[in-house]
Amino acid sequence: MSGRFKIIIFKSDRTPRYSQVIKTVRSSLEKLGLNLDVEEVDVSKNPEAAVRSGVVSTPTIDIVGLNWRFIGLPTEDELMAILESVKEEERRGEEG
Amino acid sequence: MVKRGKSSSGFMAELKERIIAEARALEAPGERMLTGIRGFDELVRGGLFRGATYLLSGVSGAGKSIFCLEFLYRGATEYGEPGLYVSLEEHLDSILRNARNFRWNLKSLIDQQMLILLDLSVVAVGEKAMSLNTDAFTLDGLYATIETVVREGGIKRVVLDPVSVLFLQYGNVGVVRRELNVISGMLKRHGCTSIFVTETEYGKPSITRFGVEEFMADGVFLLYWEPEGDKRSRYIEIYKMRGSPHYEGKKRLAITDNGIVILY
Ligand SMILES: Nc1ncnc2c1ncn2[C@@H]1O[C@H](COP(=O)(O)OP(=O)(O)OP(=O)(O)O)[C@@H](O)[C@H]1O
Ligand SMILES: [Mg+2]
Repeated sequence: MSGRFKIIIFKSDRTPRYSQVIKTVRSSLEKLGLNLDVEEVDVSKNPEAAVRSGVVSTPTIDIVGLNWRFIGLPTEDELMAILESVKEEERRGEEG
Repeated sequence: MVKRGKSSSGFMAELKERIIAEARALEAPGERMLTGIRGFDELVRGGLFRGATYLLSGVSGAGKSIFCLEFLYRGATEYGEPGLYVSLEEHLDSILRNARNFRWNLKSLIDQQMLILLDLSVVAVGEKAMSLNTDAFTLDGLYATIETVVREGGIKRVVLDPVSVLFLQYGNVGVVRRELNVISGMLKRHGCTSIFVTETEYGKPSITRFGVEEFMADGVFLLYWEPEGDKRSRYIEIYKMRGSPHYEGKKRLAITDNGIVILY
């Protein structure tokens, strides 16, 4: 599925607890039964992406389509609360 | 706790590079560069050291942003050095408004890529809604952005205004300080002379707001905006200048329609 929503995770070669970031994102999606693309961008290797997106720190997680940005590692609850509204919008999209 | 592994080895490599850069700086007598701000280069006995990072500190309205803008303006117009202004707060508009008062033609400098203005305010990135969780982070987005622009634009002068906002937003003073050190090391490797701005609060004894930023800089300059009777006066003081004698004490400073001038 490639809807209008996706997740971009900005990282770098020094981002602390990165495995935790990925795990939180994946498990939140799984728990909500959401099938979103998850793109990982390494700003050390692809600095232009940081310039374009105005990313200051890593990790940064963008919920594209919802215009939401997490700076730092959110808790699973925080992430799920936001992803709930993605799910809600997708449901509405399917109905409408 | 610091976790060992890939992330820390990246940091170690960074650290090593920085130490090598510092050692090289020890061998070579520092090359000076003139700011072009009237009266300032004399205060530090011949200008700033190329590749060094300086802190400019003062209360709101003290003239920090004007000082920085003039540092870049003089660099571009009098010394042919391209400059980068990174705004970490939403102040780019008001900074440009200041320039209009001075009748400095920033527009043409921007067109010629002698001046690059970057708005990187965390709070207003593309008007996104956002949440902050800042237990563990790096400032590698800022690092990557600055390095890209510096490399591609042949930038020689860099301003970060104000870095104090990073301490406020990210909370973890130790990590922000470490990250700014890493950025400062990168700027040194690229031969950029840099000014990091910190805003202080009225009536606080600490020189810089968080009491720690002054340790990482090659020099610290203080701007004062002090009540005197029913008026206020502007002063500047060179608080620290590694590797150089400097004027000791405060000097009067004026903001004129042609920028800053250090008086008596
Ligand atoms: N053309 C001018 N002539 C004289 N004074 C001016 C002129 N333009 C601005 N100023 C003075 O400079 C002040 C603003 O300076 P500046 O924006 O550099 O302060 P700042 O230290 O960066 O403050 P902040 O921390 O709020 O960003 C104004 O409040 C005004 O007093
Ligand atoms: Mg300012």
